Amino acid sequence: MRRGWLYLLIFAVASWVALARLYPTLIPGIGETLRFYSEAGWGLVLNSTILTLYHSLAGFLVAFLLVGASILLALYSAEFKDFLSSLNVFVQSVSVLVWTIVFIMIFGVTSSIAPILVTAMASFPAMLSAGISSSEKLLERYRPLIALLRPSRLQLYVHFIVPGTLPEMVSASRVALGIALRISVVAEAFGSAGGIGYQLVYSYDLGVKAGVFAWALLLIVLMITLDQLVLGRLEEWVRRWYW
Amino acid sequence: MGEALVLVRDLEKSFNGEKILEGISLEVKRGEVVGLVGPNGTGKSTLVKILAGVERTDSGEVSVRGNLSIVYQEDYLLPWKRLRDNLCLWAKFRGRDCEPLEVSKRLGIEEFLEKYPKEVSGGTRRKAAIARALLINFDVLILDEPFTGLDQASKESLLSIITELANSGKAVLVVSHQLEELFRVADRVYVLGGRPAKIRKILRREELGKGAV
Repeated sequence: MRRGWLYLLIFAVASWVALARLYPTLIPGIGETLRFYSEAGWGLVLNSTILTLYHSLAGFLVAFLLVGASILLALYSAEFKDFLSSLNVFVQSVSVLVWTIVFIMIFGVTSSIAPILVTAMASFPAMLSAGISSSEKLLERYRPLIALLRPSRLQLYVHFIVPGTLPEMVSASRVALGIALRISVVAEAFGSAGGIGYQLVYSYDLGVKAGVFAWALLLIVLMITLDQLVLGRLEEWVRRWYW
Repeated sequence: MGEALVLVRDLEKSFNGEKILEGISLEVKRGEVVGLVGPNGTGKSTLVKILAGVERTDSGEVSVRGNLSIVYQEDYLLPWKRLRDNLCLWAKFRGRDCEPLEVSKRLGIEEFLEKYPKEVSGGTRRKAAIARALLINFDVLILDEPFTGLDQASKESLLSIITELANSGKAVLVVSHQLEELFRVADRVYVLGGRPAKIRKILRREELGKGAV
């Protein structure tokens, strides 16, 4: 695993150096790109990173809560469960660009609500699919015990579904948070006054190639760090804690 | 003996077009221990699930009067809860107090109550599933293969618990292929066999013993 990352790093650096030498007018060198951070100011880098993380995590949290509430309501109503399946297909069918434009029209360019809601809409389907399928599997698996104990729907949700679907939900969250982070920068690029996505497009508009590469690199490092150091370990821990 | 708390009449059940249970009739009265024996695959556990309401019958009559508690063949312990919490689920769902220590002591699992199911042996998990069923406020107890995986001391303990339950007016149905244990407590044993499975024999207490089946 670690060797794989080393190989990838060597490959990426070698490709970057080679391409920067081949196309010096198009691709900035590594040194030039890294210098951009200090030129732009570490305060701006930090603020943009925090804002993007805020948009991503808030959007992810909104989606997570929506999925949690949806699964609970699905326990009470078969009709709602059918509605959820259709809703999931609908949400998946709407382009991120459409969500972005619609939410910017509603909330304005400077509001953080638009990137948060776009991120929520993008990560909602992945988590809802995982939540519904894992809760169905769990209910089938423990059907005899549920028949014996006869819990209320709320007790079923709290004592069976929430803890029982945790491994699948953590895995789905890993995917959804990755989506959230990628999508939030797209939303920021269109409808925000800050964040990595906004800075990336701003650098592009000004023709600062080192800036485009620096912000893109920051986003990639942020995603990999979050995935490997937080979500990957959390997933491993949850799975080990279960069977 | 008292009224019949478990009553099955002419039960039939098929899976994927194949009939597995045919014309099954049995009853368990208050204060009685009734055994159900038969080779593997004869549908004993299916019958238990029908009595639990988990499976439906194709035809026939099934009635269970009073509260039912069951030890399934599979333990169904929740891996995310400690044994103590697994044992007390029924009481917790009803807002009642639960004291699992006494029954845990009788089954020899009191030292494992704070452990998670994955941290204990298969035998301890089995005993925990039995203890969970005993902590339910029941009139009828069904035990599906309760002796499997138990050491001799735990078997003895379970046998004395079963006898005490019957003496206190509970109806107990024990499904097992471990005839020796079953014959020590049962008032009557239904012998299931054939394909589709039917009740082949009903053995009364005085007939129970070696060579009876």
